[in-house]
Amino acid sequence: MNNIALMGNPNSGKTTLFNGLTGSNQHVGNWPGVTVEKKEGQFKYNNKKYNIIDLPGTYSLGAYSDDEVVARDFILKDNPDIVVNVVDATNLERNLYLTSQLLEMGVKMIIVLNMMDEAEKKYIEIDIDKLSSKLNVPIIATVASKEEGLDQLKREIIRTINIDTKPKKHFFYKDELKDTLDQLTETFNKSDLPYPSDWIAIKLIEGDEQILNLVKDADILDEDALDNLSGLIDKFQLDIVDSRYSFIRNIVGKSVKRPLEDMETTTDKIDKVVTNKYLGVPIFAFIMFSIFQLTFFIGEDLLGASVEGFIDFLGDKVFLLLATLNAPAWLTSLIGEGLFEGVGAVLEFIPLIMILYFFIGILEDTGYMARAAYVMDGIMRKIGLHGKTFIPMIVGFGCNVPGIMATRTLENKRDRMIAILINPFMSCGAKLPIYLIFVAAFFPDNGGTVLFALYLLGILVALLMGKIFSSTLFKGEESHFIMELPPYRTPIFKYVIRDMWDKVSGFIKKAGTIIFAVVTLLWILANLPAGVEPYSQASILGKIGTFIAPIFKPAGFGTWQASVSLFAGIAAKEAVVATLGMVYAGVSEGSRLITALQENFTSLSAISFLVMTLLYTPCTAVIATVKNETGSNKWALFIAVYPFVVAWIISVLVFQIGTLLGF
Amino acid sequence: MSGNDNSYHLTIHNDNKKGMIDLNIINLTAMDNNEIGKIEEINRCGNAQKRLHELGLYKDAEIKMLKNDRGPVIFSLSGSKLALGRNLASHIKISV
Repeated sequence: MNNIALMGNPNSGKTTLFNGLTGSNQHVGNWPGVTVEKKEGQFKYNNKKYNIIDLPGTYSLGAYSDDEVVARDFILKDNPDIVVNVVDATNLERNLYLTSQLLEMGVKMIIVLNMMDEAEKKYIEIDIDKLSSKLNVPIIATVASKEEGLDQLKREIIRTINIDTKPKKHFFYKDELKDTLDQLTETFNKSDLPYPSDWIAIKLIEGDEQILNLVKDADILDEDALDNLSGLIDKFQLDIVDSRYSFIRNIVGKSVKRPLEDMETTTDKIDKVVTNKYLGVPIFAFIMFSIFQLTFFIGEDLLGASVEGFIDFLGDKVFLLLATLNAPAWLTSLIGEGLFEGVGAVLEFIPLIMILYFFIGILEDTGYMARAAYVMDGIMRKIGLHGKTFIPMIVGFGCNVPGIMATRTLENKRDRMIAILINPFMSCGAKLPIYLIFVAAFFPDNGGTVLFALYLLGILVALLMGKIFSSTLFKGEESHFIMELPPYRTPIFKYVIRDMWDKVSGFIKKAGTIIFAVVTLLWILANLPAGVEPYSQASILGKIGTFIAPIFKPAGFGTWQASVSLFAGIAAKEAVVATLGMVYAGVSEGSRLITALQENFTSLSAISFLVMTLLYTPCTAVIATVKNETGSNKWALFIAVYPFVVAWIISVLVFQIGTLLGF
Repeated sequence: MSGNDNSYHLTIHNDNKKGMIDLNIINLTAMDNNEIGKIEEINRCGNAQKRLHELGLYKDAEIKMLKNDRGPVIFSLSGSKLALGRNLASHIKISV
């Protein structure tokens, strides 16, 4: 099957095009070894199937981000049959910078001139035939968002794939630079490197780190040659960029006509308000607040509750069925109760996750996310963090798993690590039921205030830890703020929904399986050794609780029951309330649980318990996500331990000071 | 003029043409809203330099300043809208 590589700038409509070409025949995975999403899909034409890989959006093929390395390695090593380069017609010069690098690779390619409707609105006139002949590449005009031009594109792709001749490599460099490159190419021709020698030569002079390391490791150049190379880079590095832009400007000048003055667009008008120095942050806060209200209302209250009800119903039926079949009691319990606990913990949470991903998708596709990062940059910078850090923090309020994955937008590794490490303090949706039950038991009239205080405390601790990390563990310059603000666009709902389903199923597969396994395990621990009363102090779980209870004494809740519940919370935060119920009252919810809490906690110890819950070790799904995203066991361990230390210190302080003050 | 940082007048006598060319070179951070200028040069700023290049920020590119009051500056460049932190933006010299 032929492989088609889709490449282009971020915001060029590449993914919309991908969606249009592949319909629902696509799946998302991961490029091996990196946390970069791999999107693959297929389309059929004349009964033949074609494979498309949507490479990550990049501005160039340098080597500073995993995205770029993935993209260029795919082209140079995996040898796709054709590269389809999506170019934003309203932004030709910048988009063609990437194109120029593809041209010098000599790959078989087609250019898709997308967003022609927006170009028309801006009175941009492009002589496509001229552009095509100057670049020596076929060009197809499309409006991917309206699915216009796709059929023609498919035909051109197939036609070009079937052309036998290899395209000529473009070469933009002259005189001394050309001679230098030729010499270097000669040197590499004799060696066995995994990339074409002329390309390596260009990349070296550009100062490409990955290629430089490759060459150093291969021991092709001696000390003197390497020193010499350094000098050549200093001398010619900018000339490379210069040559490419000269080429581009020449071509664009001859084939594109733009009006002299860019008119103010709707985007500009909206931005005047949204990025206004006084209105920006309040508007952002309002949007975030609304999203949260909607997420929790629809996701948790509405849908979550119905899912919960359904799971309970199903669990009861299965239990009955097994009992009538005379299955052994332990098996009946294991499947009817234990497994369903595990399944329930995951499924009840899914509606919330779905809505969360839906809103994030909308924010991203409309282009507002970039403005949010802009608006928050001022505040974040005072703490030594990048403006883009705030977005994962917001997502973390729904669930820390997507929250931590959202840190992928931070290209700078330092910024990203800090963002990952402070994310667990953003109180996730699974913790809310814990707060609510204690509020019902102890603060029925002040619920709103208590909740607000808890969430605020979480944010403050996150920002404080961010500041601490940025001045100690991750000391160094924070990266510069560089962001493109794409024009506002109406999201295409069917693509947003499809994307949401992709992400939700990813969540279920990864986080879901972990939560399910661990919660079921918890149930087993609570029911062993055989014959013991479930969730009693004599069960394995109870014994664990008794063992760790002393740690929590200074915080005011040094009971085995409280400890067991917190322990259960490491498995999954959803398990805390149910466990509290089971160990105190043999129920997992309801008024009996509330009474039990009132008998076993005081208002003060309730607060310190909530502070502990807010801040301590995140759930196993989060720990696993951190391991995945950082590729390191050390950080996974760190994310399990350090929040506990922070939580312990603060909840102990709360309890001790509260006691001193006579609460 | 917003923040008169690093702005100076350069007068060049050109023998081949009549009269003199007047070049006013300022920092990107010194541009007024709606002012248009051309990138003259970008001072060394480490890795960010390559990023700037690939975003279209290069010698002779035309820039229109859109927002320069607080926080990162926002400007348009050949059809795209970019936001740049002030520290980084001050490395870019514009001729207006």
